[in-house]
Amino acid sequence: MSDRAALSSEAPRLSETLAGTRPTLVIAGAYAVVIVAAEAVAAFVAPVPAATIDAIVLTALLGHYVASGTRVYAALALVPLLRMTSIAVAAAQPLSFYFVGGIPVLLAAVLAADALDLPGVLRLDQIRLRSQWHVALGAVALGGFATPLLGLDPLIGDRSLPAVVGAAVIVFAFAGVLEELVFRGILQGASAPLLGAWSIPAANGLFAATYLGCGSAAYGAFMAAFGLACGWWVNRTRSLAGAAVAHGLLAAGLLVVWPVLL
Amino acid sequence: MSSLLTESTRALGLPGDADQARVTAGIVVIAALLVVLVLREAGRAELSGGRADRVEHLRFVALPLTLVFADVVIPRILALLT
Repeated sequence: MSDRAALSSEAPRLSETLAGTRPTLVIAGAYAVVIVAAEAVAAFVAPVPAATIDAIVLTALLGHYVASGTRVYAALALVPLLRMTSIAVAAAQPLSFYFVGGIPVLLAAVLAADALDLPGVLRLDQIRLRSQWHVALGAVALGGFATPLLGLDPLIGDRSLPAVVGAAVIVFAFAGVLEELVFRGILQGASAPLLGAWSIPAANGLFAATYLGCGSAAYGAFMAAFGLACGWWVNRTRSLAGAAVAHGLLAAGLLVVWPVLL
Repeated sequence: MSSLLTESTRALGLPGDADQARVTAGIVVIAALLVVLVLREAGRAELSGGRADRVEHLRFVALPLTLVFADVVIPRILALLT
């Protein structure tokens, strides 16, 4: 049987997947809608009301997780935590912001992987597998093609080699790998038992919502499509390593390296 | 730009009009941290079994919020002292 045929036979119909888990899905879906609304408020209205909505949703999700034990509630809590962190630690310098804002979210993702029994999420050493490093290298070329089309401003003004390398490392970790840990690792991983393959678009919907405030519709759409591809690859290979490194290389290329080189 | 750094959070980092919003957002984070800590302590006292285990798992939110709390409060304390 071909890989495609095997996948299509394994992928359950949505109605079959939903049977028996409908109440949980309705509640989790309602939380997701509120989180997306908070992202829209942060992007198009004002950040403080968004942080307030996120704080309420965060505490409700945690209470629900403790009461029910459903992992997807705890996984969903990472998105409001990410946004509250980014609003509260806002800094003028993008790189210092990434570092200061990224550390708490990275810590949350690592602790959540342990708490939610998703240890495979942290196996980034699997990048040595051919299926993983091939896709990661492809992201470098994708960044080179996409940079002139998206027309993004470089994140740093200093074009010296140490500045570019330092910025690329920070963006790789906190804009690329971190997002994959949160959205494909924790969110998609925790919702997969409920949604099956439908966890890919579900997690990616939240990922795309966090790009509502990126300031460029083309860039937001590009990242949403890239996130969907990453979700599919993670689901297909059962490893986050390739997608995480690919996302890191793409982000570092788009925001730091390619705008300097091209 | 990314999930973490958006146009609105970048604007918040600029000095001036955004100071008030940044302070208010910091207060919201501190309030959320307090609720999480109260939830943890109340749960430790009242719950047992799987629920007690899950209460312990809440450190995945409590610790990051504590870091954010430190980032919000420590610069202001230093500003008062200098």
